[in-house]
Amino acid sequence: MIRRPEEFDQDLRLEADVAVVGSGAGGGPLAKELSEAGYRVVVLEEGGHFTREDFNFKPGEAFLRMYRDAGQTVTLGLPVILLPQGCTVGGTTTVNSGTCLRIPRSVLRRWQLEHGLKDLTSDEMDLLYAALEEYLFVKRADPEVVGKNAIIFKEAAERLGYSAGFLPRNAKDCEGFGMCPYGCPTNSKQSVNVSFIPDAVRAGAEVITRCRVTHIITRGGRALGVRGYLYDPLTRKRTLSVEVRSSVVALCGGALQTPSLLFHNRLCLSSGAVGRNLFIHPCGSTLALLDEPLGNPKGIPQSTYVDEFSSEGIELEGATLPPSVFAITLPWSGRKHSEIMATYPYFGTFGSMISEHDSRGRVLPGPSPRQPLATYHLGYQDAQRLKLSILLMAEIWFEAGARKVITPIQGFLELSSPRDMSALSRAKIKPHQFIGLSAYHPMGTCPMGGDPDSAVVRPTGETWEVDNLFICDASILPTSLGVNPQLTIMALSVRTAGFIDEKLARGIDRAEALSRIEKWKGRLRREKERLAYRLNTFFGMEGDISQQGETSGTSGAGDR
Amino acid sequence: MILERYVRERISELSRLFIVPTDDILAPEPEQISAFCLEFMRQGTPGFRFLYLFTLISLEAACLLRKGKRLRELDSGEGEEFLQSLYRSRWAPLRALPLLAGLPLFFSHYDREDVQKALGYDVENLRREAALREVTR
Ligand SMILES: Cc1cc2nc3c(=O)[nH]c(=O)nc-3n(C[C@H](O)[C@H](O)[C@H](O)COP(=O)(O)OP(=O)(O)OC[C@H]3O[C@@H](n4cnc5c(N)ncnc54)[C@H](O)[C@@H]3O)c2cc1C
Repeated sequence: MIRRPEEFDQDLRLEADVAVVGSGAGGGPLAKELSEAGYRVVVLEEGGHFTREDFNFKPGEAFLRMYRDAGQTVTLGLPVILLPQGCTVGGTTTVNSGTCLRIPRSVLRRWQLEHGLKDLTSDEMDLLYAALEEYLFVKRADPEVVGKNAIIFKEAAERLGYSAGFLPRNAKDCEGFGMCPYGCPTNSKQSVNVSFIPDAVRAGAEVITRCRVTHIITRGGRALGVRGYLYDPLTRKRTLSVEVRSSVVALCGGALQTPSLLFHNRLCLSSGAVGRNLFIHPCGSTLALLDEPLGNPKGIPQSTYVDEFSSEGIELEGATLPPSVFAITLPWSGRKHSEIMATYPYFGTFGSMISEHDSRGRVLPGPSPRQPLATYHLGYQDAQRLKLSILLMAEIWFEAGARKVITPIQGFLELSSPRDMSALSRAKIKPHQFIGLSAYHPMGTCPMGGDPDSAVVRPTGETWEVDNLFICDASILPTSLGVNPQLTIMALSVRTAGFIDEKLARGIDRAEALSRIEKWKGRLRREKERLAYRLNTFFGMEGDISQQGETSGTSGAGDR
Repeated sequence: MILERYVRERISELSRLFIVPTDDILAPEPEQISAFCLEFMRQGTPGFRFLYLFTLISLEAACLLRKGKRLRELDSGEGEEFLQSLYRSRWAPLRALPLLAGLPLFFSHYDREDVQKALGYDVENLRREAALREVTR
């Protein structure tokens, strides 16, 4: 059942086998797998629950309701980068673009060699990916519905000899309503809110929405449950408190919130790895004025790729923007802004993302546990690679017949011809010259690895320092992934569910063993009492048997 | 309340300077824009609230320093010139002022369906069409 705070009138005390904090790409699959394996699963999700009836083609409302802090999350540093995160049932998958890519071989190999993840074999990952792809109806975007923007860009890229294609997506019967990042209005996108969570609920999981977890209950180095509160969505004030006692706790709050929770609870901090190594895949974008209208919003916002430079960590992925989002990317106002907006239908848009080489990011404890600080400095080399990605997009747009291309680089905001590109290509761009950069893939802040000195979680997903505390979200990816991460997060989540299952099953055997020991201790105590009674009667010390019994009983209890 | 009034006043002044109506661009509705901005601030982080207020105050101060006038006293030509000089500044924090101030303004204005329709972006039909299609697993 998916439950809202209005349904409760007193503080909640629940018992479960597994408490799952967060219902996104990590939490959803975990909840489904474990509830289908017969465990009692409680999912605690900070955001609200929205369905397709609520998805009304209004990006503004989507930002206010389904994005964390109305989509205002940014990284501090040069330049400031917008890093929006979902906060709703389904997590960021409810508002993401649906691209589903497998981990590049070279990255997996690096994880095996440098991060002690030998057991994470490509065979195992392939099996997990294949199962997920089937479950999520992953297939290449249909050229019939991708829209003009995608077709024009892809064809121009191919004319230039670049490798390009349609992206695999988790969409079933998609008709290209163009609203993926604001909630799919037909349930075509198989985000966690329409796939894993409903299946988990069918298998008995309980999902509590608008519930923020603040404390992880531990004793003797072992997780015993979580505590948090329900809040009123209008006032954001706490209403009731929530406590879930569970055998296993799984943190799935994402790469910013999970480290924040650990900082706040002073857990797993001895390796110093919590919060370190924040990777985000910084993104650039280009807007190109063409001669024909592109027919937005019909089409798939992110359907096409150019991977010519993927060996250098540069991916181009198409993204169309509704007018409101398009408007905020323009670095002008007044008449000039209006003039460009008036030609909005003629603008093609495309995006790029890079996999980090020399950029450095970190999550630090913030003014409140809900608001960790993310710092990020775009490295000089990465700035040049971002520039290269923008040049590449500009070249493709000019090949497609663009009259001008708008870039996010101060000093080169408008390129009017391929000739303007040579000035940009010669320039060494400083990180702070980028305006209005964004990123969508925070990861790496609680890395998985074989060495407790440098990793936060073991290869099984359990933390090195706290027994029965698992982490299962983007934070465990040990390096920048280089491709969109949701499918890999889901694959690792399903894998971790297997380890939790194993652990819980072993735990049940252990409980049986413990109860046998208890019985055996009880029998010993009774023998002791009988012996004491006999000795007393033999030596004529007829004291208060019940008292003796009590004494030995007490000592017995003390022994336990 | 005082803060809310301050934000409302600044936002209506800025809407006039940031959004210039043309044949295809409808005039801004300052009330609708300030309601959105206030909600955007309320739902956001305290850090953003502080930064946004700071931006509004700094824009006013920069205007006084550069133009010797308050924002509301600028005509549209002067407003245009003033804001463009900030966008072109070599100093990143100065460039950030109009970018940040414009963010919720543009967002709310271009989220209006009549404004979108005037641009040829018609979601009304699509919404109706989408309501009839429900994909099940
Ligand atoms: C606009 C956009 C487009 C994207 N497009 C793609 C794409 O096409 N393909 C792709 O692979 N990736 C995409 N991504 C990224 C992808 O969606 C994320 O990487 C992925 O969802 C991260 O999974 P996660 O489980 O770590 O966190 P999330 O999916 O963000 O889930 C975390 C959940 O935990 C909840 N939570 C956090 N803390 C607490 C707490 N203390 N108590 C209770 N609940 C809590 C949050 O509210 C949230 O719902 C996109 C992201 C964005 C923003």
